[in-house]
Amino acid sequence: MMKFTFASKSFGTQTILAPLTLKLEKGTVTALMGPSGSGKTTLLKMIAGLDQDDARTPKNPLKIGMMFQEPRLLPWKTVQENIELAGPVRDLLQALDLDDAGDLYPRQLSFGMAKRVAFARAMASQPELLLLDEPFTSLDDARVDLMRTMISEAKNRLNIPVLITTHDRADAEAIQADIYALEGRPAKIRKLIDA
Amino acid sequence: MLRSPLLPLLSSIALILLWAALAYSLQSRYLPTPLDVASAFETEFTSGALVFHLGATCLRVLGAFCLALLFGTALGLALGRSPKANLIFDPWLIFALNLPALVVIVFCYLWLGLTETAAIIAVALNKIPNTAVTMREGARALDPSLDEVATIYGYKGWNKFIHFTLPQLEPFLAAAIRNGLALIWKIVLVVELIGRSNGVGFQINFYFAQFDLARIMVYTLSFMVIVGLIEVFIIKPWETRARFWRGDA
Repeated sequence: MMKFTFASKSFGTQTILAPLTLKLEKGTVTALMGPSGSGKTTLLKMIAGLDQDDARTPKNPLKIGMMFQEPRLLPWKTVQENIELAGPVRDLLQALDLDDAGDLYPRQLSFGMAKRVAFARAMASQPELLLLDEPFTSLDDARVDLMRTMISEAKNRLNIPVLITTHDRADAEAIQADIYALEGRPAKIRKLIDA
Repeated sequence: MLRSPLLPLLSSIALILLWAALAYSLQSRYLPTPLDVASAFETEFTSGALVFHLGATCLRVLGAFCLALLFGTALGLALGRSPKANLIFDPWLIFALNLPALVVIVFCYLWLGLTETAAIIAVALNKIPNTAVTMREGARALDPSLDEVATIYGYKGWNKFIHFTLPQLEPFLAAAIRNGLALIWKIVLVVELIGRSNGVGFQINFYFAQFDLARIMVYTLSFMVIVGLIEVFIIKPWETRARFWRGDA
């Protein structure tokens, strides 16, 4: 089990997150829900070491794969090279229905494809923890299904914890996630559902 | 027709014809004909003088260009990435930008003597502020969201610079190189004219004293051709490769 404990998190004079502890089990998916601005992405960034709480808690030493809300692909690298930034590509292109896209540049991809490449990149790093920020946003129904399958596979195949943020409870339930909510201001974390 | 690659060639030929028409109609020693210039070119080339002096100037341009690019880029990146450093050093940069090239050259010669080092440093010092300003804009345009990607996947230092930073800076670098080359070779000529005993600038000064405009044009045009070749065979192909991923190359 991985346990993350943080002090409060403020931006300027506004405290957006109350002190919190989050426990993540290996081989499970945990979904963070909450309205826009509730601090979901900030919490993900604190776990990833991209941001710090008010007590400047040091970054954990875990190897992390992260997919951001936007794909954040490097436009001067091909799909294949973007994934290789994080690690070997292996069968990821095939698994994510990107077989013919390896030599394309990000400008040649639809948003949904770019998002899948970003997911592949996160997986290629062979992480000990996978963080996915709004992985289902801007995907069509078929791609949402594919993404759900990939998340479940990642959890099972790598036997790692997967933490996602989502607005849609149906997505969280479809991947049998433990569901937490960030509520209030400053936001406190509350467990809603055990998978 | 407007996009035809022949158009620049036709335009250049038209310019030469215009020059020839003017020179033949004026018949003045102050405007040599293309044939006079061609004849002077042959003499200078066969004697080896043209190659020698062009070589000396090219080496100075290369030295000053590398120094200016290296220090200008480092300075520009530092100022673009650190608002505090920019606040402190921006007045220095404005001062340096407005310092007349001639003053910098004279001071370098006075401080370091009439040496090769002084000449190259004087030229580089003139160009560093321009490069720094261009690269500062490049540093400001860096996408911070890609910094986070670099951090997540463990890219630091040189590796991060090569994979994440440099490709974003390439358009700015190309602008700095192109403007740099244009500015540096002009300043090199002044430096040579004032304090060197060889190079294109020295030769122009020498033939100025003899009122030999044909030879002045030989050295000027030869050097312009070299700068043009660098543009066509080095800078443009590199720019095309660097912009390929944008789809606008």
